[in-house]
Formats: sequence, structure tokens, C-alpha cells
Amino acid sequence: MNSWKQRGKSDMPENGNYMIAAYILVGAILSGYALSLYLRARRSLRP
Amino acid sequence: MRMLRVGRWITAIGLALLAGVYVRALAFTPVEQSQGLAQKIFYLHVPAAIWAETAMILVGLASIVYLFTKDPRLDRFAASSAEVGTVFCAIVLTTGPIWGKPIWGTWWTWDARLTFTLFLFLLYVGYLLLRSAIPDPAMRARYAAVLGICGMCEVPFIHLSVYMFPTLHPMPIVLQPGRPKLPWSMLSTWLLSLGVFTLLYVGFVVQRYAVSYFREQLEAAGEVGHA
Repeated sequence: MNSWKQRGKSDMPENGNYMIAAYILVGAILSGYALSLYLRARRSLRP
Repeated sequence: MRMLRVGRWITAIGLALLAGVYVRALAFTPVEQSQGLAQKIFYLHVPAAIWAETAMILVGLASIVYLFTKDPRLDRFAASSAEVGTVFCAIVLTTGPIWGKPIWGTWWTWDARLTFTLFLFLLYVGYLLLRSAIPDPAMRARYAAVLGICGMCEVPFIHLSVYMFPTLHPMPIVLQPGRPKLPWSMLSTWLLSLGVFTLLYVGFVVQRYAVSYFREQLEAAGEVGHA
């Protein structure tokens, strides 16, 4: 684990779905928070 | 208003660059030998962890100075940093189990690093709940500052837990004495991701600070309850 190396695709473990789930989740959390800040600012500025 | 616009621009650039990190990590960074594609979660998990911890350190430092100076800008910054830190800590606590399941064979284990990180998240949530529960601004800031300092004291335990206790969590790959133990092709992607998370932290905090300022103006005018 502490000395990571590159490998060929032939003997790769099939766990790409975990990676996809994590990337979608991070994108959703960060975009969602950005949207929440935008909406809160708009509500605070409304006269 | 200018601060809010600056924050929005920084966030927008950060989110656009995050898409660049995704492309670089998925298409142009080699796959690791023993873990396969799941290892690529590293490029999001570790920068989020670094900023979840750094955000709490900044909350603690701002809180210490606040207790001496009573400058409301420091309290506002601490509240903003805590909220953004909560978001990054949520990323750590969700991507960690998703990475752990294929590598360790379990979603969660009560080892020291994971438990300390969960404790950090609970401290963040407690900090935000405390702030929302106290209507008086001076008392709210003072109590929150004390909790923020406690939170800061917990961060070194998270980093050192892998040295202090037997744990499933791996030793640091990058933030360790000596040279990082991974090839440049992976390190460059990780550094890019760390830069993007830094940009997002700054953009989020600047926006959140501006929102707090507007809310305080409305509170002072008696138009809304406390945030």
C-alpha cells in the first residue's frame, strides 16, 4: 500500500464501480453545497 | 457584495477545475498495482481530509484570537470555516468506506483513525448546533470559540493515530517524513486535486462569510431570527 506502482489492465481488480460511486458522490456534495450557499445568499439579499 | 461575487467566482473556477481533476485522475493517471481502480478515490479522499482537518485548526486559531480581541470578523470566519469543514469531513466519511469496502472487505471498522475522524465530524456538527441554539451573539461567539479550540486540539490525534495505535488505515503516503512514496504521475494528479480543494475551501468560506455578514445585518435590523 505504501509504495504504489502502475500495472497493466489484464490483472486489474474489478472494483471500478466503487470509484465511480465515490466520484459521483463528491461531485454531488460539493455542487449541492455551492448551490445551497448561492440560494442562502440570494435569500439574505432579498429586500 | 463584492466579497460574495469574489467567493462565487472562486467557487465556480474550483468546480470547473474539479471536472479537470476528474478527467486527469480517470483518464490520464495510471492504475495502482494492488488496489485497481478503487485507489483513484485517493485523489478526492486525502485532499478532503487535509482540508477537513485544516479547517478545524483555523476555527481553533480564530477562536483563540477572538477570545482576546472580541473581533466579530473572527467569529464569523470561524463559523464559516466550521461549516465548510463539515462538508469536507462528510466527503471523507463517505469516500473512506467506499474505498475501504473493496480493499479491506468492510465498510467501517472502529479503529483509531476512523473513530477520531468520526469524532471530528461530530464536533463540527456540535459546533454548528451550539451556534444555532444560542440567540445572544456575544454568548454564542464565546461558547462556540471554546468548542472550536477543543476541536482544534483533536486534530493532531487524527494525524498521529496511525503511529500511536494498531490500525487498518494505511500510513501517510504523502504527508510523512521524507519523499512521498508514489510515482510523479500519481503525485501530480494528487497535487492538482489538493490545489482545487484549497480553491473550493477559500471560495466556500468567502461566500459563507458574506452570507453571515448579511444575516447579521438583518438580525441587527430585527428582520430575522439568528442564523
